[in-house]
Amino acid sequence: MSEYVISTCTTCDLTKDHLDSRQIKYIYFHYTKDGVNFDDDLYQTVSPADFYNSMVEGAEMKTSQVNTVEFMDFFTQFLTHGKDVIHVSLSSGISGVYSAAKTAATELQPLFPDRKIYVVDSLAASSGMGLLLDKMADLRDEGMSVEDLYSWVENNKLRLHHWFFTSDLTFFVKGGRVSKVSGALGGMLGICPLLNVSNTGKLIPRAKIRPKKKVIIETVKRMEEHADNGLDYSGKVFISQSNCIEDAKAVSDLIESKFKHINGGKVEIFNIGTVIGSHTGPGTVALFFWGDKRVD
Amino acid sequence: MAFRRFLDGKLFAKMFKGGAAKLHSKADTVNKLNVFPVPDGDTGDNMSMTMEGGVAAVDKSKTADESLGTVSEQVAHGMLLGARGNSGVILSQLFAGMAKVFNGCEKADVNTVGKALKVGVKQAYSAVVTPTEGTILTVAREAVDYAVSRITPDSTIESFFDDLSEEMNNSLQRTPELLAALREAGVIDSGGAGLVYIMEGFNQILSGAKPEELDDSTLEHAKAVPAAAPVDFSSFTEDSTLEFGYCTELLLRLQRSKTDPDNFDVKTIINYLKKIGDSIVCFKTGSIVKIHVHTFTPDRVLKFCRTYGEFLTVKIENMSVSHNETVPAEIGEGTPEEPIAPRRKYGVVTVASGDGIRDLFKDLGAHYVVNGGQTMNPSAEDFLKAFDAVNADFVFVLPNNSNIILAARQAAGIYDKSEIFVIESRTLGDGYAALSALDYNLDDPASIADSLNEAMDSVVTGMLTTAVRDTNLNGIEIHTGDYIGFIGKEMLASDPDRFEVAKSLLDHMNMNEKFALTVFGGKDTDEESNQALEAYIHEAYPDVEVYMVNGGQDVYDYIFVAE
Repeated sequence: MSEYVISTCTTCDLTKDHLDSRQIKYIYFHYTKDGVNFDDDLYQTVSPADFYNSMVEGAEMKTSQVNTVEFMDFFTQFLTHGKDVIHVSLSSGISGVYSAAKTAATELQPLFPDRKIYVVDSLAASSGMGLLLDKMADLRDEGMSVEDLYSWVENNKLRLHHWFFTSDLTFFVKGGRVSKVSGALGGMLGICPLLNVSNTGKLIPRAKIRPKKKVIIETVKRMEEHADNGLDYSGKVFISQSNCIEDAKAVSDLIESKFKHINGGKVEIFNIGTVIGSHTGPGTVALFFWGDKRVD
Repeated sequence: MAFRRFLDGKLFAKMFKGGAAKLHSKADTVNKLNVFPVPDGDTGDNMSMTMEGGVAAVDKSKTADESLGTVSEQVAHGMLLGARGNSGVILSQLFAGMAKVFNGCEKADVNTVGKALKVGVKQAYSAVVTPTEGTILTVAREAVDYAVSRITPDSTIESFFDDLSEEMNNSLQRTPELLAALREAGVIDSGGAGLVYIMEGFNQILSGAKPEELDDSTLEHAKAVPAAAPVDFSSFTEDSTLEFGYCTELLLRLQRSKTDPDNFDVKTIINYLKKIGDSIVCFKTGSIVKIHVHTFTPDRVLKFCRTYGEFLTVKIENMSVSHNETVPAEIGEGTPEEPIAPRRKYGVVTVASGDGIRDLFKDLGAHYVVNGGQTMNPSAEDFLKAFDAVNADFVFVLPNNSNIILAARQAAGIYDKSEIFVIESRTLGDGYAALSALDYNLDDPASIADSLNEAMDSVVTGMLTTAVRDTNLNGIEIHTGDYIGFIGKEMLASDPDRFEVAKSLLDHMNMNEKFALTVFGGKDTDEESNQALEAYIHEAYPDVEVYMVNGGQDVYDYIFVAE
């Protein structure tokens, strides 16, 4: 049993099984559907299909972050058992949750002067956070100390790439995560915006490509350009998707046909959870891998 | 008739007007010298409208200075703004180069005129990225070289322009030897022909002949008095004094019952107007006299003019009253997002005709769509108006036609209120692909321009229209009225059946290797045939995503854009 706990919030978009088996502790984010509160509970109480269908039918989704008090309770359960904590938070570029976690840590530190509490601004989201956490679990299992793990994650988090596309930016814009500064949002005449997460953890549209088949190829091309060792990439590859498993499979098939040395032999596909999904809507496919440092 | 040793400003203005009139009367002949059997940005009209820009600038002149330097500068500036189409832009640069040499000259001898023309030719060549021989450029260059080489101490203005005219004609006849496209189509170069007519007009004036008689249709332009602008009545109250007089414009039809229309001399009217007004423009075409004067006593103008005929139109405006010009007006009228937009960082100007395409381009992010395209090439000035209306720090311009790019570039060169990026979109398909990729998130004008250019790289645009004449191109026999399909300048299919041409064209577009096909249905297509076409494409190319757009464009029944 390790001396510290890796924790995160549910916006890491891994499955409950995955998190449990990697011994990653998590706290639920929240969302409201038409004013009614729900936990982002890794699809234990709602299916992805039902969730996204209700969005398409016009249900109003709003997300609310984990607050400081919740974080204090969450961290305390580990600290009272004498464990240090390294918490990985959703990118500060898209959520204020990092400061809530940070504040909780600051509040708790005097109460547990012997414990170390690290809060990491992941500058990542969805299964990108998930891929970061998965690697941290590996390093922990290899015996890395919490101090070393903290400096490792700070030094390496920008090496985590997020490339994603959607057939419709409407939900991104509605949720305020992408500003409507160019003409079309996509959704018209097959235009698919291709975005990534910047070095400040923000969602940035990088190109508009028609049609979907081509954006799939372009997305994989970005991986060829940026992944460690290019086509010889030997790390893990995660994909998350919002109710468009066919598109996600098209991406993973293309990757598996090109990259022969992926850790585990295949791409792992996850669902975009209810909180991230409230901002993407259905039809988003996001690809995550390790590569060169994000510079813009 | 005395021979002249010098060209002065007055003579130059007269010659220029003579040249413009001659070209105008021959515009249709020039239009018909068209290699491609589709209606297009007609060279004759484009050159003629460019010349009219020069004429209008001289007519509107407010200075009493009639030196050659001043007049040629006015002509050059007017042409620069009025330039339409490639040949129009080249023509305007020819005169702009001449004006440089004439700058500051009261008059010029033959040697100086020769030098001016040489500079003009050089400037015209430099206006084109890759000058093509066998065009207006060759005709101008060879004729100028020849005429200059023939200059002797005995040369006169008349002998010089005679030589020029003679060699222009010879050079024009040789253009098919230099340009395979002309040879194939069995025509001579249209721009060169336009230049020859201008030169004929020059020589008619030099030989003392009357300027080319313009038929009534010529007056279409003169008649197109802008619609009454909104008037601010509060700018002239009960207590105001008439400070500037009335701007008075009349079209007078000379009446046989009152005078001899054929031999009436407009000087009669001009001399009278000089006594009671200024800013006088007065010319006679056929039996119609166009009159423009600023005067405090328009009643006297009306009374005097009525002694010779009756008015077709009358416009009298108090010049103390503000007439709010709405932007933009007249030809090339665009559709700004709103009349006066607040200053923005990025703006997009594009060119299209057809409601469907215009709307689509706006949806894709164009702020201003200049009305124009294949059959109507907008002028440099139309672009300037668009730039003003868009009101942005950086403006991206998509001309969407190979014959409009130069005018856009010319406008970009003149304009200094924004940084203009001319994206060289040669077809509507290019423009559509580029606009689809438009993304200001790149937030750096050069990168945005790059992304627009990049988006056009992989686009193939196929056009389907009706042949307007018999010809033989690319080994394909074409009959007037048949449907034809082509990519760029490459003719690929011809058949009396539209559907067959569409199928063949798509085949040539290598649709099997493409991801997406957007089909713009023209105004002459109907829902039923569009659906049949869509069904065919789905069946023949199941892997291609198809988007049908009701473009509403004229000329082209279908524009296929494959990406």
